[in-house]
Amino acid sequence: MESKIKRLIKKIKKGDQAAFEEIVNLYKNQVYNICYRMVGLPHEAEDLAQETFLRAYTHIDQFKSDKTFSTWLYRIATNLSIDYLRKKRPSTYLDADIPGTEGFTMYMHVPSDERLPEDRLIENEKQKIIHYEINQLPPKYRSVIVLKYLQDLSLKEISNILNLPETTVKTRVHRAREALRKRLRHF
Amino acid sequence: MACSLEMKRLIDAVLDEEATAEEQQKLKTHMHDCRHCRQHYNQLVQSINLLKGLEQPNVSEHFTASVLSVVPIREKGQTLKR
Repeated sequence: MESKIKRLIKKIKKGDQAAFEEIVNLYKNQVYNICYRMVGLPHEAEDLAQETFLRAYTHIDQFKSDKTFSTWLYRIATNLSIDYLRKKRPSTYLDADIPGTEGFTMYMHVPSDERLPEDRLIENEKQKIIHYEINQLPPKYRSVIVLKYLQDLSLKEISNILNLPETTVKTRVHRAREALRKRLRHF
Repeated sequence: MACSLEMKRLIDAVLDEEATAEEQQKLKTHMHDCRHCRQHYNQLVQSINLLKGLEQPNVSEHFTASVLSVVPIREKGQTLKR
């Protein structure tokens, strides 16, 4: 896999668009999922994923071939998501907090026009609640949770992506886990 | 919370999959008697399982085409600046 990626990168550096297309197809879902769980909103996540690939393409000469490409790519995605969260003006999102209903989101009250079997509906609600609770974490905890438990990356990889010492990443994982335990314990 | 700092450290080590067999046994023995730590540990395990069970939605079908439509065309050997 890694040697295939290296070959593709070499081709992209020479201006091969087909090689770039292949890279996009290989990583698009992972990049999208990182952005989606970081910013919480599907459309914004897709824009950020697109921006990630655009940056990767235009800055491909800065990618050192002795490094892992996915680490470099996920770093761009994470940084763009964090920038987005920093700049975002507070506004009323559909999943915003409703006073007095901590832990519940508005879209749970929006009736769905799809007819779903009951267990599928319950599973959907469950997924929404977990997604919502991840989004209540401060971004620095959210990023480690997303990279470790959703993308299944090692502490070493996460430390390279976030450009933080492994010990810091580990402490954040512990704190994020604890914060999430409090939020999800009544499940 | 766990009932002591030592137990908190043990729980973290076990969840990080870094605990020695001896440490694992120590926590297990402790949790047998301590309802508090047992509950704390179980809730942490449950949270992790909920996270791991999250669906990974696919990006929309037109994504690749849409990325390709915005990347600048690059001549051979030319360095791109945006």
